[in-house]
Amino acid sequence: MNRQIQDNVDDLIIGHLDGTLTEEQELELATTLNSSQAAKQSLLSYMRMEGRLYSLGRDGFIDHQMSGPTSATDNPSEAEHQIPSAVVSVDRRRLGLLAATTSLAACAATLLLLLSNIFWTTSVNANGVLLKAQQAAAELVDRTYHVKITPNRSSSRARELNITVRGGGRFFIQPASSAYAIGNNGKDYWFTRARSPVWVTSDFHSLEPELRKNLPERWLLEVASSPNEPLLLDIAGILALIESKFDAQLVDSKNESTYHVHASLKSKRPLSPQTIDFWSDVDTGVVQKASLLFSNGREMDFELLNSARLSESWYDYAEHATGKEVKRIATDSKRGHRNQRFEADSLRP
Amino acid sequence: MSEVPHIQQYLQLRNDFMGYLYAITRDVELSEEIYQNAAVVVIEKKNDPEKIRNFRAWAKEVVRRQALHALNARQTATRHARIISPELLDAVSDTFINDSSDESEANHEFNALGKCLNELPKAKRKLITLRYEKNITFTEISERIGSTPAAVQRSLSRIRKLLHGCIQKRIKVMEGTS
Repeated sequence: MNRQIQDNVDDLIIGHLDGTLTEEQELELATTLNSSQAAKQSLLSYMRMEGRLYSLGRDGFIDHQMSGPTSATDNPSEAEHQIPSAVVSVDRRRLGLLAATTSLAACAATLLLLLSNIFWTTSVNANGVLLKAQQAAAELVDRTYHVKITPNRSSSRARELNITVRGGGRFFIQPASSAYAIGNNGKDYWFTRARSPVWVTSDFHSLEPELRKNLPERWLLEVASSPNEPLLLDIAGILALIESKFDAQLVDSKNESTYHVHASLKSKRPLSPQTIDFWSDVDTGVVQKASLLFSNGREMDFELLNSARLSESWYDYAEHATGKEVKRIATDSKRGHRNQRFEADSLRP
Repeated sequence: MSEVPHIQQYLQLRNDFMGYLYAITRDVELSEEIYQNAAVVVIEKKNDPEKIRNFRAWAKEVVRRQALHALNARQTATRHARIISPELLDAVSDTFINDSSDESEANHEFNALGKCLNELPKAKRKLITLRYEKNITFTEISERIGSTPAAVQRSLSRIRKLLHGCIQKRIKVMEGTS
């Protein structure tokens, strides 16, 4: 095959891969393939190259492959080791990408997916979306969600509030009325109302008796700290729950900017939501929206309002309760709630 | 090779299969779906006492059948009214099924591709990244870089020819030195 004919075949093959050939050109390519061994070899090598480019791209290695010195080897026997060494050096590529890289790891990942009953529906699967969302949720970035809580299907008395969350357990909750504020600064839980002190504790459950008297919405903190329902305050918590207790499916969505994952509870648990739906950004994995439905009809809807970097002090009561008396509840888990003692200090200068 | 679990052998052939699947579907998501459906067949084969003499050939046939099934299903969808012509589909599938190249050849190409990618100028690398890593259309790429879809397609066409030529040259050099 001379150079010009080869060029023409290459153009036809690439045009075919791009879907730009006319019917006549497709027929020309088919005829050429049926009559020329060289054309067949050319198609095969183009197909292999295309497959590799998509595989490298899927795993996020094209950019890496091109940015640093080559890790390729001329020794085919070392081919199996080429990509793993590249992976190790790309620390920003995380677990999911690592798993998909080597044939052995990919094998393990495949089997894991199958065993998990998380079936693939497209090139993107629910497990992958979940993993990416977990990674995004774990980042130390502040995200403010608007939360709407509907007690049950028949009730119209929905409550709405804003929650700002950051990795490491930090959160800050305030309703639109600013009637109260609840937070966790990464070490202590705290809450306050308009004309009350700031109550601070390292163990929320020790706070519960006081909340009963002082905080009508005490269930918020119960939800926040309950091991059975770590749902309200932490998107990462929702995602972890999905991973451990739910069957997740990727929902075919017309929205190209987000993935929609629908998760159903594997076995009945009264305190857990029966279904969780979340929508995460295709590029970043950040959860844009989440919707939880409980067996009693209670619903919680989260919607991302803002992703802005906030100061570390944002999650501390000092930021939201300036001048208020601080009452720290010293806890001793062995003594239980009835043996709480209160130590008062003050934020007043 | 025969002692290696089928699924592992199958995964090692991923690039070959994905290349073929993309060539006949021109849809990377559908290609992945077919590839994964075929993986299930491979895994289920474990329970079948019938011995597979040539795993690669058998897996190719599984992939081809899964692909044809998926294409038939897709043909009914209006959004994919224009699909590959039957003559070309047969020609591509026959080429794939009757491919007698061995795995070392594929490994040579794989290694060469890595080096050839590294040699690409920055602008060309950017286009390849957008197309294959970001998996976005020519139109979307053109919007990002301030060009037209046709110009992007032409550029990517040239880049792939460049990469392909680079791979072939490197393989020839390797064959000459081995």
